[in-house]
Amino acid sequence: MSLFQAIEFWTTFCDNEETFDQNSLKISRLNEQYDLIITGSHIGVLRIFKSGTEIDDRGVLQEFKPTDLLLEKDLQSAIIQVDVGKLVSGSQKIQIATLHSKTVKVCSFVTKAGETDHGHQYILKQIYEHKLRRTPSNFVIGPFGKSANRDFICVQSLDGLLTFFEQECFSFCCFLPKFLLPGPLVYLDYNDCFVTGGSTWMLQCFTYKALSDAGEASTQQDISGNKVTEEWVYNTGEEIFNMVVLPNHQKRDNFILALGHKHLYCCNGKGKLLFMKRLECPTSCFSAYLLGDDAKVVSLIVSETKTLLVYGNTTLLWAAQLSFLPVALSRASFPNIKGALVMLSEEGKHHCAYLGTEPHLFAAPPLSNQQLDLDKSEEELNRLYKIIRSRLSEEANRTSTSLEKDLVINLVVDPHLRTNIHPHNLESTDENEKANLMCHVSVELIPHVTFEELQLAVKVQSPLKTSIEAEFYTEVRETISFECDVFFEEALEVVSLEVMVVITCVSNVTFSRVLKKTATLPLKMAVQTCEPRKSGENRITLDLNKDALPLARLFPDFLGENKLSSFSNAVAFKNVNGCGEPVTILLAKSSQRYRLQSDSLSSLNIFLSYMKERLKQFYDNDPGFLITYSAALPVEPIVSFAREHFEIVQEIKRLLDLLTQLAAQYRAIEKRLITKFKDKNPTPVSQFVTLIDDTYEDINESLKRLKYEKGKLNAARNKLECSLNLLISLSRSMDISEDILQSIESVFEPHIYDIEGQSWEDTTDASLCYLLRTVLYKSEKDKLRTIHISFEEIKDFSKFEEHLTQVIERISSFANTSTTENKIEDEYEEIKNEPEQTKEVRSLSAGMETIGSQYGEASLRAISARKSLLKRRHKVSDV
Amino acid sequence: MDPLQEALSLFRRRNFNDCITKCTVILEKQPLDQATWCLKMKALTQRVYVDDIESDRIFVSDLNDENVIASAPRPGTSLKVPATTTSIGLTTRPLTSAGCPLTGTTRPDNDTTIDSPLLNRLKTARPFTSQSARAIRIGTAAILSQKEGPFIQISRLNLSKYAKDPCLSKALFEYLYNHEGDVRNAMELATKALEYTEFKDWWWKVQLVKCYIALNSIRDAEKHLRSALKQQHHLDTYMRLIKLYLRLDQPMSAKEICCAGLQVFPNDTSILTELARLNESILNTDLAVKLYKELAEEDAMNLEAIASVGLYHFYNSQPELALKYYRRILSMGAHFPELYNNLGLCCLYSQQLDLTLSCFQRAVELATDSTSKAEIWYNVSHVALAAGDIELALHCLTLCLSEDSNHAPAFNNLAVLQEKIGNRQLAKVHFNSAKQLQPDLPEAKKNIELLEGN
Repeated sequence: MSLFQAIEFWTTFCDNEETFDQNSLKISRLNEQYDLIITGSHIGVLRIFKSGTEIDDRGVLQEFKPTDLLLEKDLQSAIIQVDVGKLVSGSQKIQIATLHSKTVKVCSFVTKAGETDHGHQYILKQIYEHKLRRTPSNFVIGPFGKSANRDFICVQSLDGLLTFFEQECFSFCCFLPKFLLPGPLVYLDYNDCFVTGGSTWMLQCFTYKALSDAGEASTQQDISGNKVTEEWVYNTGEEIFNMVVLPNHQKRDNFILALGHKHLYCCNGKGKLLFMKRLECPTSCFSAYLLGDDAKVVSLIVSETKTLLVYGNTTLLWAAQLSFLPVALSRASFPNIKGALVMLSEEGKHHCAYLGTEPHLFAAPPLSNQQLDLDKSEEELNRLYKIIRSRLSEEANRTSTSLEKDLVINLVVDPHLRTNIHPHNLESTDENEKANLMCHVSVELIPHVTFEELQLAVKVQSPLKTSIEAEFYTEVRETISFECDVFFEEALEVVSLEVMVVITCVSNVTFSRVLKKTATLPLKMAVQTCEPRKSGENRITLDLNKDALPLARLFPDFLGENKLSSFSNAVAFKNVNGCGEPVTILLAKSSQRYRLQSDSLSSLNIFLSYMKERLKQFYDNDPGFLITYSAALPVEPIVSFAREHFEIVQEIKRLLDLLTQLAAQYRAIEKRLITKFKDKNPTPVSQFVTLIDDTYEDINESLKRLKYEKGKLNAARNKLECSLNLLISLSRSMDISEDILQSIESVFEPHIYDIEGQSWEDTTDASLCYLLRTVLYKSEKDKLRTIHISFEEIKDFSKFEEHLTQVIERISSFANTSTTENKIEDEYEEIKNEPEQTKEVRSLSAGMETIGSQYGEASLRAISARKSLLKRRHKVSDV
Repeated sequence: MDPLQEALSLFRRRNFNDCITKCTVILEKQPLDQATWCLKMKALTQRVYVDDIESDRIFVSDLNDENVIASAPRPGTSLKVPATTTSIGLTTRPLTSAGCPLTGTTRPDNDTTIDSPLLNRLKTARPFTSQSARAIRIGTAAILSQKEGPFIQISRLNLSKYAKDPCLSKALFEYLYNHEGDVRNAMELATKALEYTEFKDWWWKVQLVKCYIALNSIRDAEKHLRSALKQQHHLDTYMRLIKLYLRLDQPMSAKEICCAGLQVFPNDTSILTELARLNESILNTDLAVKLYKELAEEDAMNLEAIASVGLYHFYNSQPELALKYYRRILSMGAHFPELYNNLGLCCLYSQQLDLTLSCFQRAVELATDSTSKAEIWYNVSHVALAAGDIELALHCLTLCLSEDSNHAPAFNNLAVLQEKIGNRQLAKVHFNSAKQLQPDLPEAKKNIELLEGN
């Protein structure tokens, strides 16, 4: 690849099947005025050409004419190399020497001037020949021993014998040392020495004197010469293919240019490297000459990519593309053209060329569809559109269809409970065994498209647990059915009876989607009926704006148990696993109200949720149907639960710190003990044993306590979760706007996580402050509260308590709590007077007074809240 | 003509297959002819010879590399840690996945599978014989040539005997290393020969280094190369030392060696090339371009230098200048789709719109492999965008993705266009695909943030 192309002006070729190599070409003037091209082929034909570089009338160089071939002679034996020199004694004329397989021939080229128009006659006259006893590989001609006007021949044989001929007579012969295969051989005239690149992959230099000394006594038959030593060697580290010697007249020295397969080396006659050049391509042939007075070495290298590279020392001067790959290359001077390139190819093409300075601009091949073929273009366009459309439609498919259409989920909760068979942490008493039930949940997935991956997870809130929590499917095409059981893991109150199925799937078009579905577990799983109690510390009254449902219809599962009939207006439940307090549910006869009461607020939670759900279901999700809770929200129980939780967390923290300390102590003792053991003078270690035992016991003790506290924390957390859930349920039944409700719900999220370093109080406190500052603000001052940036650890519970109380109170005050206490009072009086009332229910009346007093309290709070509201309104109007 | 004479002539003419047949004939008659045996060995070696300096791949991220010096090198002292660059230009120069800037040419030693956002690569002017993995080449060639069994039974060789023969040992080593790929025996030979030459032959040291590097014993290799350099200055040794430091991820040391090498061999193109590449990969772009220019002065045919300078100008907001360089490459006879693609881009950004499309037309026509096709369609989409034809741009990007479904920037651009025509959902999906395919693509990250922010 090159910008320029060498321009061939003279070309000829051989008809016969001949081969040539790098030694087959020689350019010499012989005894003429201009250079002649001498070639000798491997089948033995010697040719001498002159390049007819005459310019014709049109100013164009003339091409090859048959008369340019001056001489063609079959020498009958393969010509290995041709060279020229003053090889005849007593003559200053230049003769041609040819190397054959068995001989060296020296011929004279004689011109007989023609007297007529047919031109001159050229004759090749053999002058002498030397028989060679060993097969030669190459030869070199030069004025060995600095002989003036005389050239000698040195023939290198294939096995490393150098035979010297001083013109017509044999001189001497000697073996080269360390020889295996012949390499190129050159003669340095200024230094009177020979340089060869042999099998040792080094340039070896032998002086002519050393060689002649070694071969002094030799004859052509007897070669018992001495061993020759090198003058110098230069380690090239690669095989040398070709060498050229140039004279450095200024320094009376020689340049040796050696071409290896990767590098071009240039040394002086003393074996010192002048420069080297890394070649990027394998080369086929090379030639060199000197340029100018400053002795710039110009090397011509033809690479295997048919590019002629002209280097001036190491700088690339020119590059030209050749039309063929030559095996031999030389520079010649012809009439009209000085410095033409003469090239010879392997099969005998003779070319003369010059470096064309006219850039040969690369013309890209024309586009195949230059002539716009409408049919073809349309076809191509359609093909491209097809690709585009298929992709676009794929994309459209991906986004438009919803997952609900693609995947149908059937979630079925079996209403019939069975005895639990899965492992649990419940205390195994007979009663528990009986009450320990499990509920069967089955999920069926019907896919309408293929899903590559699908994960199904079933979630229930602690203390409930599922037997299989998640399942992973791949390549979902057909219906999947998944079954699991829900059971109690621990004896705690149920926070929520909801079971949620979460499906995460990746469809075949690599979209990930999530789908959820929830169902409610039967209430029977968690509770059983018991004797109604007359009183409860915590009460909740629900108002309905439609007819209240009889209790028997509200709890159909429990019909007949504990005298629950369609006429009962009181029913009581307790948890199956005995925790928490029993809950009594009363139905007001004349008004549409229910009352739930229990000694523990947390126990109320599950019933409140269940009843709301059930009532809604009964009224068929009629939007007009409302369940309202109009009293103030319970504060004290929640705060006490929170306090309990907080205290346990603090205790756990203290225990952990203690453990850390004890462990550090233990390790320190251990270390000390080891150093004691290593001591050169042994000392008693009994006191260490006591220390270590004590520490060990302490650690054990605190671990036990930690375990106990963790169990307590679990219970406390459960209670708190229940009460928070209740709080949310109640808030929903109050007249609170949707956005405030959302904030409240997110703050009182009934999932409590106590992670190390951050407990529920820490995060909740920040959220509470946020609520107080924003949605629940009372005065302008509230807005100016400092903003919580980070979740700080709560150390002082009173502050948190204050925030919590404030928030719950403000929620109550935001809902327009009506004071209908008196009415309620009347209602329950009625209950008291019911004839079919059970004894237990009758005894409720005793507790009614306390109810009244409690509500009195609540109403007072409500009034104060309203007052403050009024104040605020007043303030606003002032402004 | 004597058969050995003929074989030698064939060998000189690099006609290795015929040379081997000739030698085989001679060896059948004279099985113990050492010269012929050596010639055949050399011919066999030359036939599969690969320039191992050029093809030496540098594995930038090798997990099991025990030669790693610092896990958190200082900026500019490692090729593994992407340096940050602040360039103000037409477009910032894209970096490869390894954090190195895009080079002007594809080289055997850089990863050819990297996806580059803007295709500005050219195929190198150097012949591509050295591109495939060395071991594979050797294996296949050995099987092909030796149907009746291996030429040399390596297990039967008396290596210590051959180590003492200076004429045979070197050729035998090359045969063992290059033709047989038998590093273990080659190393044994090299060790013995080195001992025999009393550690005076630098060549054996360098060969030993080749074996050490093949066995990943880099530090030993370094020691031997340094000692070889003390004996004789040779380009080969310098090049190997430079490559070795690059492999060790010590660009500063490599640079030092480059400078030392340039003192001995002023203006040497191969060292200059290495130095320029090195500066380019540590984002010392200005110096790299200066060196590439020097290189082009020394070797005006060096496509890599021209293409690199062109690339520099392109990303330096001088598409007109870049166009000149690429046209020079074109006039030198290069005819690849990548070149036409680059010409098209230069024309586009230098407002020579009449030429733009015809350049891309040629590029599309010439492209054969899907990666370059994808890149060309991606660039055509830029032309469409410049013309304001969103529909066409969408189509081009779709074609690009149908050729190369891992083209992250195409996904990103497609997403931007989809967002523009209102398909936010689809845009999001495409942004995410882009981010997934190339996690460090800043555009995708930023766009996702923007989209989620709204």
